[in-house]
This record gives sequence, C-alpha cells and structure tokens, in this order.
Amino acid sequence: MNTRVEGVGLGLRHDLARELLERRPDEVRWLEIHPENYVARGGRFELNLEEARAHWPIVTHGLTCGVGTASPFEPSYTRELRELLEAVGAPFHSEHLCFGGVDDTFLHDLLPLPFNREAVRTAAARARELRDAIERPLAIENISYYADPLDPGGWTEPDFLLEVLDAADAALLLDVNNVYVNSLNHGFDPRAYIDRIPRERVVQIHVAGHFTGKDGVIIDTHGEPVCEGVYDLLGYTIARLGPVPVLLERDQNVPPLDDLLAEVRRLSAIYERGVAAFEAERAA
Amino acid sequence: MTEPSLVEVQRAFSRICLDATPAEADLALLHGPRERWLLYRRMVRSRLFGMVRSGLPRTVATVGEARLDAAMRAYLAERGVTSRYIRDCVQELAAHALPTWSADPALPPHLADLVRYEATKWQVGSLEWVEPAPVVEPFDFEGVPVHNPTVRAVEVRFRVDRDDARRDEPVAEPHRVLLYRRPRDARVFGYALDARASALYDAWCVPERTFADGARAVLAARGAAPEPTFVDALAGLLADLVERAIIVGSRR
Repeated sequence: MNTRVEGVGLGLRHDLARELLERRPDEVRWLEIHPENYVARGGRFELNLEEARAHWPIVTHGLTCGVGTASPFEPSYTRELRELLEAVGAPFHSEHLCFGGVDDTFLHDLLPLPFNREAVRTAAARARELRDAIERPLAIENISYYADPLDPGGWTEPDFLLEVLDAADAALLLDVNNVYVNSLNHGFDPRAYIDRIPRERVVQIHVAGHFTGKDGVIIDTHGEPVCEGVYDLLGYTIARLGPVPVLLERDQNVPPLDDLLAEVRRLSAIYERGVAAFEAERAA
Repeated sequence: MTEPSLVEVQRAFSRICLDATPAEADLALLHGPRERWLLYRRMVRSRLFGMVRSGLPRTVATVGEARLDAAMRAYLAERGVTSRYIRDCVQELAAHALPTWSADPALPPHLADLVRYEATKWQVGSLEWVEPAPVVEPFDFEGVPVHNPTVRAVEVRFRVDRDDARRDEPVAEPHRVLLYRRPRDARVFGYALDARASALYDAWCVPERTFADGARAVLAARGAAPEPTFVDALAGLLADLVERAIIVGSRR
C-alpha cells in the first residue's frame, strides 16, 4: 500500500466508490473524503471508507466549517471530526475560506466573505480554534466567488487570502480551478495570482471542471471535465511550487471511471513535467 | 454610511437564500450586482432540492413539483436546515411538510405513510452502527435477544412498503414495517409484521427478557395456550428475523 500523499489523487465520491474500490487503479495515488459524509454515520459510506483506507492514504476536506463563519463551531462536532481524522490518519485537514451558515442555520454552500479586516480576524480566529480542536495542521482553501459582499476597498482576493493565512498561520489548499474561474469572472491575471502564493504554505492543490452560465458567469460546479486553461495553469503552478499533491474533484455529472482515470493520467503527466521544471529551476 | 458587520452581512446573505422572497433591503446591503446574490440563492436551494429528491423519490413523484416547491419554500423560510449534515434535510423537510400534505384532500390517503416510510428508510441508511452485545453460539431460545441497532419501526395503514407495482395503490392494510440495514452490505430493507408478529417482536425488545419469556408473555396476554399454529408462526418469525439480521443472535 502506498502510504504517502503524493502525485494525483481522486475524491472518494459515492457515485464512483464501488467501481473505484473494486478496480483500485494504480494511477490514483491517494483519496480525499469529506468528513461530513462519515462523521456520525454508518452504512455504505462507512464500509467504503474502511475498504479505501486499506489501500490508499486518505486526506480530509471539510464542507461545513468555513473559517469565516461568525459563530464558533460546536465542540461536539469538532470532537467527532478529530476522532475521524485520527482514525484515517489524515496528515492535515482542510476547510474553505468562506462561511456556510449563521445562527445555527446551515446553507450547505461555500459563501464568500467580504475582503476586509473584520473577516480576516474572524477567519484567523476560527482557523486557530479548529486547528487546536482537531490537533493537526489546518489548510485553508481559496474559493470561487461570484461577487464580493462589500465594496473591496482596495483589497484584492489574494491580498485577503494572504492576510488570513498569515494571521492564522495556516497552510493553503490552493484550488487552481477557483483561481482560474475567479480570474475570468473578475478580470485578473491568474498567473500573477499564483506568483504571489508563498510556496512554503501550499500543502495540496485542487483542480476541477466548471460551467459557463447563459449570462457568461463561470460557475465552479465540479461537474465538467477539466478545461485546457486549468491544465495550463496547473502546469505553471507545479513548476513554480514543486511537488504538491493534486486532487481531481468531480462531484456532479460523474462520468465513467475510465474517463476520470484518463483525466488523472493527464494530470499526472502535467505534474511530472511541472516537478521536473521546478527541480531544474532549483538546480540552475 | 457605516459598513455592516460580518454577522450582519452573513444574516442578510442567509435570508436572501432562504426567505420565500428575498427582501430588497437585504439585497441592497450587499455590494455588487443583485443577480449574483440571486445566483447564490438558486445554488443553495438547488442543492437542497436535489438531496430531498434523492431521499424521498416516491413522495416527490406523488406530491408533484408544485407542492414540493411550496413545501421547500415554507421549510426554508420558517426553519431552514438545522443540521451540518446535508442528508438530514430530508427528514427535516418531511417532518415540516407532513402536516400540510396530510391535510391536502387532493393527495392520496397513503401519502402520509409514504412520507414517513421514505424518511425513515433514508435515516436507517445512515444510522451509526452501535456495536451490539456479543452473541453466543449456538442460538439459544433461552437467551436474551441481541438486536440490529439500525432497526426502526414504522406504523402504516397502507402497504407503501411493498416491492411491486401495487405499493402505490391506496389499499388499507394496517401493519408495522421494520426498516433495517443489513450489516454485510449496508443495504436497507423492510420487513412487514402482522399483529401477532408485532406483539412477539415487542416482547423481544423488552430489556433482559429472554426469547422464551417474551413468547410466554405474549401467550399470557392473549390468554391462550401454545397451539401448533402459534409455535409454527413463532418459529417462522424467529427464523426470518435472524436470517435477515434484524435480530443478530442471542446472549446469556
């Protein structure tokens, strides 16, 4: 069994779990799970996770503890989360730079924060609380956003992200698709964004497909194949950051496993080329 | 003008997503084009609708899109999702909508049974497996029953649990269904109990009571002697419950 989280991984999603676990394809090096699908839950999800753990390293990625949430997370959940992370041997845990609910109501989506000082303070405080509760490193993921809830007042998205990472002393799960989507929706250079990311903070990368709506807004659906622009940006990112594990996210319109594996192989080739370029650059 | 606080922004955002009709004041509080905030509203609601459709497929087919939409609007506006596990919105919506749907004369009489049956089946699929007490071999009728921890009973007036085309016929046949998850493959099944089987099952659910004492209690309550038909029915029921892992065995 491979025990290291490296190369290209795939999300253990219900729609493809059975076939993935039966075939155990070599090109998938590790798996990512959403803890909310496993905490306080038995049944098929529990059986699938047990089987997956026997063959792959597992990384965890939360959906409901967006670190910008105004109210603290309930200790009963973070305790159960910690137990799950311990059980699967997660090297770190990641959550999003967003909020997902308020006043004990959950919206079950990744909703954007204003790019301001209060949001930085809140996100940093929540991130530290969560990291302390789960007793392992926490990575924060940059999200796709379709509008800024308040007038940005001069801050750009990477300004905000870097402020939060510094204030929280957190790692970064860099979602390259989200950078790409935001660059098109908000009109900035995605490579300039990547250039600002401190290499030492990045512990994982996400790539996914997206959808262009009728009004031209690009939506991060995880329901389409990865596009050429994201492949290109991934190659640029790996060449700059080095061997950071890459996850292919596919949560909707899940195609046959062979189609996903073809994407994984292409991502792996880009990853290998990017790592070679990174090492050549360092050697020069 | 003073910038709204983070929690004010999040409350306005939440109301835009959940209110029956988004308030202009909330849309005005957020910077940027209102179409983008309404896009978030569609995304939030679409995900929750999708989950409810997964959990209550026959219910949704029976009530139709218009009633489902009305029920979701009321549920989200009056209560919203209170669980961090999105799967729980299925039971929450079912509980919220059931009084309204039950009072709707245009809906078939078996609808209430169907809602409770599907919501319970959805719940059983995800219940935590709380490891039961160790069983002893061989199975002992003088032992205490050890139950599958995922069993949930639903009382129904109609056969909504049938596995054939007649399951949506409003034919009254009051009975009890045990919904349970099979340990070896985590599939959820239903097992129907008639009145006698139901009495025996209840008797075997009394803590620390043996199978034999439970059967005796049922006979005593009926004032009857253990006739061959009763013994045959008891043996058949017990064999079914054990084979299906509704009862996983016996202990001392």
